[in-house]
Amino acid sequence: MLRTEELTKTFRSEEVETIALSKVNLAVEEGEFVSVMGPSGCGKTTLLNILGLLDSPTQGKYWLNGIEVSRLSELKRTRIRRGNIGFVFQSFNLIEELSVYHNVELPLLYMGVSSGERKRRVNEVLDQVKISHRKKNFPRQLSGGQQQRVAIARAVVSRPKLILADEPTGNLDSVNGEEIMSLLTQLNNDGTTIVMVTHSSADADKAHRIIQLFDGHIITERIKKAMQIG
Amino acid sequence: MRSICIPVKGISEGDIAEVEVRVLKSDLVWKYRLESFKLPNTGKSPSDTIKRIDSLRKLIKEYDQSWELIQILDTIEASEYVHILYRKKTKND
Ligand SMILES: Nc1ncnc2c1ncn2[C@@H]1O[C@H](COP(=O)(O)OP(=O)(O)O)[C@@H](O)[C@H]1O
Ligand SMILES: [Mg+2]
Repeated sequence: MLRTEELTKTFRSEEVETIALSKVNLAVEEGEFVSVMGPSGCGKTTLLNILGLLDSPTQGKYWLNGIEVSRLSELKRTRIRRGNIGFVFQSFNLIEELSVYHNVELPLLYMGVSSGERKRRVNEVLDQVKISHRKKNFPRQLSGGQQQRVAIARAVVSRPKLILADEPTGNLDSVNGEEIMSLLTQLNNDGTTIVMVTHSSADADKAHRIIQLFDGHIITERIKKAMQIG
Repeated sequence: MRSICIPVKGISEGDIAEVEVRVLKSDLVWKYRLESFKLPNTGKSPSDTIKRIDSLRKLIKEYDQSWELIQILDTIEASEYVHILYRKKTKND
């Protein structure tokens, strides 16, 4: 599904240079669920942003579905992202001015999906995450757990093969966190590849493999369970 | 319920804390160990970082194999110590 070679990212301001990622070699197979852990500031979000084509590396290579994408223009990256990659963030990142329904519909509008098909798919995913009864509400009218369910619906409505989740349970209590984790696990069981950043070792345990980052380097990898093939 | 949060007081850098969780009326036992390790230096230069990473990788690799690394914890910036949470492996691991 994806592979990086010596992926390096440095941020430069006037005085300081921060090495956020250093020579990261990572391969994720289709259908895999991988957790990324590590102390604050170790480069987890930077890694996810590069994997999600929201940012590009300073050095190194990145293959997504066999295509080397590290040097593509912003426009080409956006095109690849749409419909292929779904994002879930710690702070939900829903659009406050749009209803639940319209938040989830948005990715399909960008993709130019017909209105009938949009309606069908939005309702389907809202059912899937059990939030249909709230589709006319606005994000601020929902609890954190409900907002994250909407965010997951928005991430999956375009049926991406890859979901990138950055601390998806970070702002949730344990009951809501568990519900989000079971949604993600279900998506993975249905074949979606997931890379998830987390601070929770209980959440990380749901993955096939756990990667530990420290100071921008991969320190260790632990295999939790074999991936079910087919 | 998926976790128990235990405040660990009075532990200084370099100390080791061990916690045993036992489910009463069953055989379930988990042992956790929080240990801090001193890293060679706290410098910011790339070669300092590489030295630190190498020694961290080495100490993890050479650590008692009956324990598995669960998490490298947040450290205070520029601290010489890194805190690591381990769990004793069970028959199933
Ligand atoms: N846009 C940016 N500009 C400058 N430095 C950044 C930027 N984004 C991240 N960093 C730095 O890169 C390092 C890694 O950050 P990040 O990937 O956000 O860490 P994590 O998600 O693991 O907490 C940190 O030192 C952070 O300060
Ligand atoms: Mg982050």
